[in-house]
Amino acid sequence: MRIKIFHTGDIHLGMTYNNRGYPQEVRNELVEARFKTLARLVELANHEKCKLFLVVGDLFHRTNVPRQSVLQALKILTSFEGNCVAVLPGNHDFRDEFSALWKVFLDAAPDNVLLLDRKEPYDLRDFNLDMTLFPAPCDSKHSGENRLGWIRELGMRPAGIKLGVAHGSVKGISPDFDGRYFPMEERELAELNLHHWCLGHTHVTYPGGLTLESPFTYCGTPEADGFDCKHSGFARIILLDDQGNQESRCVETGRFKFNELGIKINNLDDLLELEREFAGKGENILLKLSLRGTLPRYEYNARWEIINRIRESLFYMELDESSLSVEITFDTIAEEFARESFPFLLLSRLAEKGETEALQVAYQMIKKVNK
Amino acid sequence: MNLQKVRLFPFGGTLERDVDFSSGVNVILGPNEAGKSTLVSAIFAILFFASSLRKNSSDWKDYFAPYMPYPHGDTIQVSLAFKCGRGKEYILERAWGEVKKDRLHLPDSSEVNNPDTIAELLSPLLQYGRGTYEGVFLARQADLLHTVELLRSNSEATGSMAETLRNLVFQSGGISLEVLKEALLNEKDELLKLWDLQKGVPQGGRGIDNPYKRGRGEILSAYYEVEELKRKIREGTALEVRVENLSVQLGEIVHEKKEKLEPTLKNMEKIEGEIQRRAMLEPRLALLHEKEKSIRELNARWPQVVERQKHQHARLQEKIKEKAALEKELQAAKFAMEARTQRELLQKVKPLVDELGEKKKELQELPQINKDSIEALEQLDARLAQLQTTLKAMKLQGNMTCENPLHLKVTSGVGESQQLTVEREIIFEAEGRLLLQSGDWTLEIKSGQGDVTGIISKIEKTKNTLVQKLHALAVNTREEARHIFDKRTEKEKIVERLRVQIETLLKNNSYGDLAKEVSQLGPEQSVRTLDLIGDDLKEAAVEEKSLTRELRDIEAQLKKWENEYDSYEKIVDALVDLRAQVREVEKELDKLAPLPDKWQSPGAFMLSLQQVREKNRSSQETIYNLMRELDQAKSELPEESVEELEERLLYSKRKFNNLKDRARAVCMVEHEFQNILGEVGSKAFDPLVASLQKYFTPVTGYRYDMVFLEGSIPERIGVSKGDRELPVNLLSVGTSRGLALALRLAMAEHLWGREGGFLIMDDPLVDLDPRRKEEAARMLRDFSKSGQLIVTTCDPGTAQLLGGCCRTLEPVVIT
Repeated sequence: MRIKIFHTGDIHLGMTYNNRGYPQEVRNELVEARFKTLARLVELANHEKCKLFLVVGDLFHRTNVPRQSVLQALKILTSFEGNCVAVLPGNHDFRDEFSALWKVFLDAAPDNVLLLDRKEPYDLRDFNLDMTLFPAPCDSKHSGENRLGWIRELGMRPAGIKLGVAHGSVKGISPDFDGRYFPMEERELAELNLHHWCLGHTHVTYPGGLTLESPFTYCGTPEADGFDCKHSGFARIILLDDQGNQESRCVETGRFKFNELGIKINNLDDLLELEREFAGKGENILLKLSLRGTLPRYEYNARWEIINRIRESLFYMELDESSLSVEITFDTIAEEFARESFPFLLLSRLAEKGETEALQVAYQMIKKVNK
Repeated sequence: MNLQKVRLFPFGGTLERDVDFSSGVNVILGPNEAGKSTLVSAIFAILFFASSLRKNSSDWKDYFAPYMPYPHGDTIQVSLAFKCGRGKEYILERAWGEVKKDRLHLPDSSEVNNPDTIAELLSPLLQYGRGTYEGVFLARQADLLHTVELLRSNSEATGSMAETLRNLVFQSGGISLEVLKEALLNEKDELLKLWDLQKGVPQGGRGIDNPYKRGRGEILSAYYEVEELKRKIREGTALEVRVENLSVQLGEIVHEKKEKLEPTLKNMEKIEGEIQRRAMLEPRLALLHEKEKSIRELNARWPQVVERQKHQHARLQEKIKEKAALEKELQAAKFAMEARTQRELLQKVKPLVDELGEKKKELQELPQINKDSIEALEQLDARLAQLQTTLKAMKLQGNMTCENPLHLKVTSGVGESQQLTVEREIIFEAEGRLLLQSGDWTLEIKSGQGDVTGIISKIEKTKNTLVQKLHALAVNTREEARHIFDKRTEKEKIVERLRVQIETLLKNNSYGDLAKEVSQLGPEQSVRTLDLIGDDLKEAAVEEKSLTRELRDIEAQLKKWENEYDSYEKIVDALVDLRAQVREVEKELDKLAPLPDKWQSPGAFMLSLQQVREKNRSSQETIYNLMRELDQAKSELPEESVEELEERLLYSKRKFNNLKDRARAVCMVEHEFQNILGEVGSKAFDPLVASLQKYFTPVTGYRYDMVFLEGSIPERIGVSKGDRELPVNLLSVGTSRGLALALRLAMAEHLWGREGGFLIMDDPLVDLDPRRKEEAARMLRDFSKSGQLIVTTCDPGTAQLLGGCCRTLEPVVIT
């Protein structure tokens, strides 16, 4: 018997996006987008006729999200049409004793929504699934030790599919230089003799594409949350049987795509190419654009027109032009200002000294007062 | 710019006046109150003040308030026609007050009514700002004398001048260096305000704990943002650690409570009731055992006590008898002792009684001379001695001669008579009286000094009294009386002493009674001493008392036992009952849960249970407290996670560093800017100096030909061939006015440049002497060849000197 599992996590509901200088309306949409993504995940799981909707940690961004957000999340999860929803506390929404977050969650959760907050097997036969979940719930934000120990010590294993559920880093796969995020090892997971491990924490899905070899999969975050997240958001759909056969595939789930581009431009054609690249598909793109290089004076002055068109075509754009400058050479200076005139003297002296930033400042300022 | 015509309708006291101007020299001639200064103010007002000027501004007070028509006018109005560029004609109209108007007729006959647009259009036509016009081109009479001082504070005019002069040295390249400099300084200020770029810290060391609230530059704001983020990260990390620690602590204590305390408590509580019962029964059983042991002991002891009671009772009876015998012996001993005492007393008293009898007898045998008698004798004796002394003092001495022997009885004084035989001569000495008796004659010679007779009589009388007294006392002399008296006194003392001794010994008894009593005592008995008998008696009493007490205790003990057990025979019954109770308790104890080995006694178990309960309760309380703390810590967690804050910090640090780089770049630009200015600055003002000297030398009557500038402002004047130099603040009024005139002309000349322009001066030649006035007029005429000069004066002579186009203003008539 094979069971179809919708594997997601790291949704981070309640993230505020205060950490960058987003305008308020952009922030509001990004915050709301995460709830919409959850709804889209459930819709997708229903469409795929998944039996188990598995959230492998960090459903919420922190343990003190507003009650309303918890109830909103539950309302969305309740619309799952499969047999069971299982939610694991991650390191962001860790479950400690008397956690208010999970108390609200549990009080309002319907019977088919399970919170995997105990270190014990969860038998899903009550939900007509011949499957047992072996969770490793997070009970703090950081920990140098994972929570797999209890599985190692467990004697009898039930029949049916045995699925491990954990949240944390895997050595060699996830960046965790200080070993603070419940670190696990691939060998350790394999030795626990479960049919498969569904993991959360790393925001990038692993392994990529279809694979039958890895004892574990990371689902990745379903909605990118910043410029350090280059993909467009993924979840995984896993088919698993009690012989350990599994098929796992990624599905694209996110709305927003964060692009960080650093481009060297030599002329306006380079900018025009960038404009063409985003043409018609930029409304959900957040772009952090760093332009470097030098442009001839006329092109430099004309760049704004193209940049503004690009900006308008995107959901949001953050521009860094600190490394972009007008091409100022002795010839440029001589061409633009009369010899022995003050601007000529000033600019050529800065150019001689190789003070490129000062040269740019002086040039911009002269242009400004010359208007 | 060339002025063509100005119209005031009305402005100040002028209801309506048109004044035309030509190029070259224009002289406005008019007496005082003709409106010359009003005209100058009107031209300045229309060029620089829009109709919307606020009435509470200082400009309104300076340029408009004094010119409102008096008493009822509320609007003033001016129009000015001028030409610019290649003869393009403009007409500017403005009205201020209740009716407001701003209108500029352009050369193409179109008109502009928006004040802002008019200002924008006028700006290039005027070339310079209001400050430059105030300082150089439009010289009101009051300002002319103070030109140097006014220019010193007029940065716009001096800036324009400096810039114009620099443009003579190098081309500006189409930019205003002053504007560029200002832009540079503004940028630098916006970036670096309150920030020390060199040290890389806020000025005054005011960090994030004591930040500047206002006036921050961009770098300081970015720095505070970075520091604030660092603080938030520190606080957020600390809070996260606190939440984690609390969570771990809570987990541990909950685990201990659930896994250890509660199971232990449950197990203990399960047997608590039975252990409690055991705690009651075990002491009871011990008590019953104790009681059984006690009854067994009593069983043995009761007969012993009864036996002892009997024995001690017998001893007591013996002791009572012994005590009675001793008391009797004591009485007999006491009697014998008393008899002995009486006898001994009689032996002591009897000799004293005998002696007393003898002494009384001796006393009775002595004459009864008492103390009064002795004193009376002594008084008489003294009286006699006194009288005799008096008589002795009456000394008589006589010499008697006789022819024949003569026998005489001679009595001197009261003395005894003597028989004398005088042979022939004799000398008699007598005291008071000499009585010579010789047979047939008696010769009595008495002292004439006093009453010899009386004295002698008294002596005789006293002697008789004394003799009688002595006789009555049966003595012959007073000494004898005294001797007897002393003897009596001695005897009386002895009698008294004896009597007291006897009384003391006998106390209140009489000697007779004593003697009688002694005679009646029988023979003397032999007895033990009272002390010996007393000691034996005391010992007997103590023993009696001790026996009595012991018997009383025995009786009480027996009574108690009888009360408890009725009788000795019933003790066995009590023992049987007790054994039955012991068996019953032991049976019940066997049924109860055994005391776990861990505890020595049920009491220790109960104490331990109480401690576990307390620990459980205390754990619960700790859990509640930790929960509260955890909730509090969670609620304090920042909305942004530490990871988000760290990302934001990277972003802010980048921004901060970029701003610092930009500030360094701006400083570098400013540095080079100043370098270039410094390099050219030394020669920039040379043309102004040359022009100034050209105008200044004639108006000083050629006394001075050197002017030294600080920037564009004159500091000193001097003579080229000599060392005579004067600071400008020490110049005379005439020379100052000349310098001001020359300075304005020199500055105007350079500011105009090739474009030309107008210069208005309100009576500039006043205060100059005729020669200087003439030179100044010539100079102005020369000056007007390169531009339009409008000069007002009230002096027709000055107007004549200046020549040119003269307009005469009639005094304003106030109706």
